[in-house]
Amino acid sequence: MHFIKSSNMPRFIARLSSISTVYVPYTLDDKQYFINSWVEMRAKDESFSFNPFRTALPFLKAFLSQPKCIVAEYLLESSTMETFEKPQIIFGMKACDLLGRKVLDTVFLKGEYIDPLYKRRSENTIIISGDCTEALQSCFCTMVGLQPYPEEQYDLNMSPVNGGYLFEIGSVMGEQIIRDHSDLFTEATEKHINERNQQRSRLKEIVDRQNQHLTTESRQRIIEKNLNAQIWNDASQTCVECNGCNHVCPTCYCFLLYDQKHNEGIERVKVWDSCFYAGYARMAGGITPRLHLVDRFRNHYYHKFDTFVTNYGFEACAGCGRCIESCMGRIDKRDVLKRIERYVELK
Amino acid sequence: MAGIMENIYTPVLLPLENVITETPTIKTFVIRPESPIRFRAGQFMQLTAPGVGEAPFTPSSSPYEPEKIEITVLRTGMVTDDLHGLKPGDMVGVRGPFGKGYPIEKFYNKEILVVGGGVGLAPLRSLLLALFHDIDKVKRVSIKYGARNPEELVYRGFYEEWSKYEKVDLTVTIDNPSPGWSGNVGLVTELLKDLDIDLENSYAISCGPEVMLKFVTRSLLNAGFAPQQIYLSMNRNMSCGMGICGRCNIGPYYICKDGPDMNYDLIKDIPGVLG
Repeated sequence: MHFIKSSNMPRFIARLSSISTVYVPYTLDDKQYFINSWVEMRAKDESFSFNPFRTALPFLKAFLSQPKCIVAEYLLESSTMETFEKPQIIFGMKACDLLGRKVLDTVFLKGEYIDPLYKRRSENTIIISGDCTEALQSCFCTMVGLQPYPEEQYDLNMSPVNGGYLFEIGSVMGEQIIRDHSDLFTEATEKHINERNQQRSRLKEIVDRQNQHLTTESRQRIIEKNLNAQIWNDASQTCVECNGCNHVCPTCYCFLLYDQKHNEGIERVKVWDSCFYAGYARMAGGITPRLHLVDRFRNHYYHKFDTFVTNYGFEACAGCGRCIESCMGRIDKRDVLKRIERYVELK
Repeated sequence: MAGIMENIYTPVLLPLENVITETPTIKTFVIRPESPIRFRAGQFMQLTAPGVGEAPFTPSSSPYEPEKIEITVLRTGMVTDDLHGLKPGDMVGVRGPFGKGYPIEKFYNKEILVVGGGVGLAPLRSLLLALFHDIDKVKRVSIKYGARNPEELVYRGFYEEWSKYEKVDLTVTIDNPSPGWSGNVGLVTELLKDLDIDLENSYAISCGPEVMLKFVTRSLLNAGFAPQQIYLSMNRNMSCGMGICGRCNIGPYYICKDGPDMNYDLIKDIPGVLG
């Protein structure tokens, strides 16, 4: 484990910036965090601001599997597809974002077919994640089996401690970075590590406590048992089908392919899609297998907590709570699951 | 198996060798690829109308003739509208093959009941040609086929040839009476009444519009078929064809990856299946 003084962070990032595009967190009001490139940020502020909780939007998903990109082209004289050579280093990602990455990797890299663009982006992305030191009200990572600090899927992970940050190595690439900049780091002391561990258990307690009345278990079983229950109609009453929950979800990966003309040729575009749209599964001729909102609403839960588990062995929910924050119908995923669980108990 | 494409999203462009008009709304597109595209009966391909988009179709030709692929297409949407305007020599894009295809080995030594509706006979023709290729291996093939009217019956020129096999019988019906039609009139489910079939040793395979599949399944169950003995070609919107874009799911199954022909037993309890 390695320690870096806060005052050395700008120098560290500036050096990384010379060989890659570095994205760092920023905030305007301390309530919501976003990320931007260090080069652009530096014009305003030379310091590094550590985000105590997740960013408002799932940036890691957007970096790995872009909201919209050209994935193929045909009948074109010369290629306009992206050539992705300069690596990107992303700070500010949390355990929930990394679970998102695990889902995307599973779908785009580990199946029978490999998404070439995702693969290239993934190989060119270095993740310097961080522990959470505060929890938002919507956070429920510990309910879905995560910790409020990263345990996998990162190259380096940062834990803020008195006077600076602890860096833990998660990959060969991460190790290389520390080695290349060893003049900025010292060996972490036991005191540092104790401080980190205390902070971690403190935050885990906070997240556990704020969800103690909303926690559910055996979600796959309770959903499977209640696929036809009235609860889905009740729970979806206030959904206005804005699809916000899916677009801010770090694990939602559905996409649509469409073709468009470009110069003399054709480009094939891959764009994020969302299963709440009425036209999502509509077929030529107009028939749609999930005609009613309640069918699509149920499908969202059914997929994340049941069929994804059946197919890949883990839940496709990171407990980041962005879906809760974004919902104008004030639908809380924890609450829906709890209602389903109660429904099972009552029966 | 990653199909014939280098990049999974890029279609391989091929010229149409021929376009056959089957009915006023159905055409068959004949492609002769540079190297054979090997597929199992029931597997499908994503066919691109250049500049318009792509849609999934199961070849209707024999998997034993991979050097010439025939794809029969009903004109029903944006992509198929464009495809129907193409002429021999025009280019189409192909990705695939995708999906599992029919578990044809399971059908050996069995009586096979094949139930088709409208353009649904297209994927079934590939299966039939595969079964005919190894006709010694099956006990019997009984084909029940229906269309709305005589003009919409596809492959009419082949019925006689197919019926020449001793083990094959073919019955055709149209939904409503039509001038000049002296054959059966009524829905295809009418042909499933009083089936003379060795129930214990049979499989039923159906392809057609979803509403037809619903009633065919009901008839088959009433006739004594177990859900495990029924295979249905499920229709779903597909974009990627590879089980990753998400939209074609029926419960835990992706119709593109796990189908498109699904054993009814696997899907029967999933909400929304067959309306």
